[in-house]
Amino acid sequence: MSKVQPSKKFDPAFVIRKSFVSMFIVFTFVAYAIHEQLINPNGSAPANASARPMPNNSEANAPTDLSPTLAPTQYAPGVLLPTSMPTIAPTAVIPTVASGQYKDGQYTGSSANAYYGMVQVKTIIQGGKITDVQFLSWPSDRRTSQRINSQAMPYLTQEAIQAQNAQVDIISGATLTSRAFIQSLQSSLNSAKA
Amino acid sequence: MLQTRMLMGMPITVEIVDPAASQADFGAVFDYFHVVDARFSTYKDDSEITFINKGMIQLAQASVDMQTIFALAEQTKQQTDGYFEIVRNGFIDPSGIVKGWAIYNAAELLRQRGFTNFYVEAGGDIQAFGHNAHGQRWQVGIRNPFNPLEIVKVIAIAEGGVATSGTYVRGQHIYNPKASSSGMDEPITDIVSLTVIGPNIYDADRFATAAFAMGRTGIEFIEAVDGLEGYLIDSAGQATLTSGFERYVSHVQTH
Repeated sequence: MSKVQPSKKFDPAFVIRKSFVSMFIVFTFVAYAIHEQLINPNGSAPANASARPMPNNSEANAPTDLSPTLAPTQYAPGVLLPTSMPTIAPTAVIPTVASGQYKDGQYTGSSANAYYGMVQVKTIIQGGKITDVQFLSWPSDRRTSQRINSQAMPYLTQEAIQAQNAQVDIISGATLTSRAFIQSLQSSLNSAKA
Repeated sequence: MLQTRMLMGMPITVEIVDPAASQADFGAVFDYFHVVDARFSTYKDDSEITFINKGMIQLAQASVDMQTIFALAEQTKQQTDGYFEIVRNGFIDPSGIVKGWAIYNAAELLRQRGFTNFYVEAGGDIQAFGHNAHGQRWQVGIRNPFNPLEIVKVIAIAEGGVATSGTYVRGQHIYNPKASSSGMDEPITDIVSLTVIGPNIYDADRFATAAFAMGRTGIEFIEAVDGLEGYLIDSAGQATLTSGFERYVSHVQTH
């Protein structure tokens, strides 16, 4: 009965060997994670969409694509940016774990120059996911560039018109005057002449 | 105190809440519109603009007001990438800028007389100051372009201008000046109404007119101009709102 059972239990060499194997496995995982991070620093991070140029602005932002329900904060930050936009602070959204999730917190992007003015966003991360994108600034002096924006701005919203029964002081509408009719008639006649 | 008069081919309404308002104050406003109409009406044979259109006088010899309007029209044309144009088929019609300019000046006239709570409205375009008779911001309804007896939105403004450009029940009246110059004389048909809220009626009116001529993208132009908000209604009854429009929407149901 006096076998060497205890010797196995307390064999220092076995413990050390086992520790080395464990450490090697852990090290391998860590090294692999670091390697992956170096090869592909942004991984498959969806947050990187904020830094990705829009592949096709005209298609993605055609006026007819305006969603009726999208409020400004529900837009992905990338939608705002024209193709030539500088990236929005990539350091702010690089994930800190290899799983592709984000570290919770609030991340302010760098102020980016859209051709109609400066744009800056703040991204809120909770539970590893983007929960909100806030616009800290958008073109503040838009009067300086009163050119037509070929790209639909993402802050526009839509709704179906609905009759209201409220009392009002004044009504704004296109004038329904006889003059308008005459003007229309006159222009149509001018066209007919040409 | 509220009065309405038919002038410039449209109803013009003035309401002054301040108790000091007298008939003379309303008279001064209506007289001003009458003078403007006499000078700028293309429907009068003896107006200054008709003389210019007939080549009887040159712009250099024209009145200060006329030269001002031409300069403002040119400036607006440049600010709207050419979508604002007072010349059509060789005929000069500056009414697209005269109306907002005249309402603005009429309101300034009342301000100089010391009034702080009033509005001046001409053909659906409004310059407001202060509050209404109930102490609220002025409640402005946007007319349903498909049913003139209905309103589809109520906005509240204190100081500012509200202008609506649109097509009419009996036919379109706004054309894309760029398409005209390229030979495609197509009226705007896919949108029916564009309401613009601005810091004053002059800006609201001229930019509403230009943006309407842009068609669907006009609402993006309004979005891009600082200080303007817009409510666009398309031919399907769908409205598009600029990002800051909601803060003007009134939820007051009754006085």
